[in-house]
Amino acid sequence: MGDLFFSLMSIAYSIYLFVESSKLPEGIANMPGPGFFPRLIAFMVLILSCWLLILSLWRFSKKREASFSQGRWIQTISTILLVFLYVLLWGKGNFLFNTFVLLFLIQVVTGSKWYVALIGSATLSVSVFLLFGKIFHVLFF
Amino acid sequence: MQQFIQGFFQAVDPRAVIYLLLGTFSGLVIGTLPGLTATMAVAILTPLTFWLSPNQGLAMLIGVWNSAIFSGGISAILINTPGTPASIASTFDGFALTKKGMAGLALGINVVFSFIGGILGVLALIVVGFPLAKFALSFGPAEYFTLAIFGLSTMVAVSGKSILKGIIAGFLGFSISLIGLDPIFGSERFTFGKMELLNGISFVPVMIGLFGIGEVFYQIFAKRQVVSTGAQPVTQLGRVVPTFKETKSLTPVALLSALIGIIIGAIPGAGADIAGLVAWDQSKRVAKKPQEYGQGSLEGLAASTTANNACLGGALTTMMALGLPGDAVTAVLIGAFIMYGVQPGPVMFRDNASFVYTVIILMILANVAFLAVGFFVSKLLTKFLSLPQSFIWTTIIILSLIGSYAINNSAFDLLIVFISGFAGFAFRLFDVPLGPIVLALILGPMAEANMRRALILSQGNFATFFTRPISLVLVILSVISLLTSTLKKKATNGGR
Repeated sequence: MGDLFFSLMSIAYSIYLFVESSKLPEGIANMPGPGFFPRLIAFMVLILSCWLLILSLWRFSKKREASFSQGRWIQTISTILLVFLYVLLWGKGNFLFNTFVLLFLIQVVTGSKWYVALIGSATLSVSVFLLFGKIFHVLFF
Repeated sequence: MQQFIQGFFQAVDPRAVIYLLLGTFSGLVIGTLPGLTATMAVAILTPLTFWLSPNQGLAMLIGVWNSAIFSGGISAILINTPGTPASIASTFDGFALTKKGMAGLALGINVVFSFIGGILGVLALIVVGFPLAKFALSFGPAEYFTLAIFGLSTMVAVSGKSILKGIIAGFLGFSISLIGLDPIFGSERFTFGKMELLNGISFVPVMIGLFGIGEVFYQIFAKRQVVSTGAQPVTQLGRVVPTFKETKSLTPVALLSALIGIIIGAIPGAGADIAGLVAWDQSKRVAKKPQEYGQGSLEGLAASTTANNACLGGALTTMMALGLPGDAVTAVLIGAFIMYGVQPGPVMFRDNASFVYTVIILMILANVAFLAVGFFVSKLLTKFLSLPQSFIWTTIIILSLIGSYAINNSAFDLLIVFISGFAGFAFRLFDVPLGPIVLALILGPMAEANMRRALILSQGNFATFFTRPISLVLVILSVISLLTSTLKKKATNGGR
């Protein structure tokens, strides 16, 4: 299943790379242009990904691979979304508050008891603020 | 001589030594915690060293690296779970010795032979590094291009279960390295009008994302626990320091393992985990009591611990003399060197020899540092295993994010870290090796610029890569490397 997904994603990426690189001049044999390598790489990724796709389809029909259902999807996706939201909200609100909320929610989502998460995230966010903001003088918001 | 004295005093500067000890302590803790690798430790701490002078920053990173590889063996011995992949082979005999009630001696052997391996690795760097760099100074564009190809081929050969996925991953990394200004004509490529992309993708945030955040996402997904073996806590260590007689009897195995570790470390892509496993296997063939291997053999443990630390010197030799990363950690270190304004490669040995000496002295000091504290803190470090997993995860996430931002005060770098982290998670999920991506990211620009320069110089004649002797040798080595590994993998897993 993983190989199938990966090969399909790589094929899509190689086509995108090919389209984008076609806007760049290719150059001539004794002076390859900026588009030469991108096109070469797009072509290689396409060929190899198609090969992987065929192999994965062949294996998939012979033997069903274990799916990804055994993983903790909800916790993982929640964490990814929380980090994304934190990055998106960078520069808005208060650094210490945003950081504390991010760390608290991730700890709760990943299985910590709320009071443990509260202490852990408060300690961490203040430590990070002091280390980077006060010692290294990093400009937050 | 003047360069050596300058480099020496840079290394033994009291502030550098303090940062070295700080790094050693951080590495000891991180290395003991299973799931937190030396690569992750160095990647996360790299931005923290941005505010330090190069010698202080390097001292910290070298301290972390050496001690993390050493302390990975502690959890391997006490709880049968390697703290870092480099200590996989140490579980074979280390935990068996613990079960026999010889945990203390096993920990002592880990300290002594990690030190011996580390020092022999540095010796290799001293002996081979300078002549290799001198030789590499004669390289032209064609040689540099084929050298990059050789680096990529070896990385693909040793990465993961699937060579095909390794090659695709390499090309994906290559494609990311194309972002920014074209190295020959200076025209924009894949910048989408973003000023931030003109200089290409920042390397350090990508590494932090792939090895820091991506690993955390995957650990959350895979329910990976710090201690999953159900091993009983060790209450009695017994004797810790090995006797002179024991050390002497283990020395031949250690010397062989160090040699194996150095050679494997010098091969781009093959890291300390492979060095430990190969040394354990090879030393079994020459051991006095091979039947004891896996049952609590002192020789087996000495072999694996010597090799994984000797590997660091080998990896550093290739990285510093040729600019090729020996493993994932040295790939991150290349980013750190560039951050300090030093480009690893033969020119560094010629124009900045004092910096090379600083690195060498710091490597020796890092080994002395963990030797000095190793006997006393080995058992104490396992206390960190009781830290809540969620706390460790959030610590890595926030240090990765803020550290990457802090280098350039750039919110765009935050986005890069997040995207790289997500990609790192996806690649782990699909069992795609990260090594080729990182290596291609570093070697991509070197390969492209030199191939195009070589073609311009030879007026479009591709034969230039096959008619120059060094270039031809490197092409042949690349082909051999790919062919042998393909055949080997076909034999073991049906050629996936």
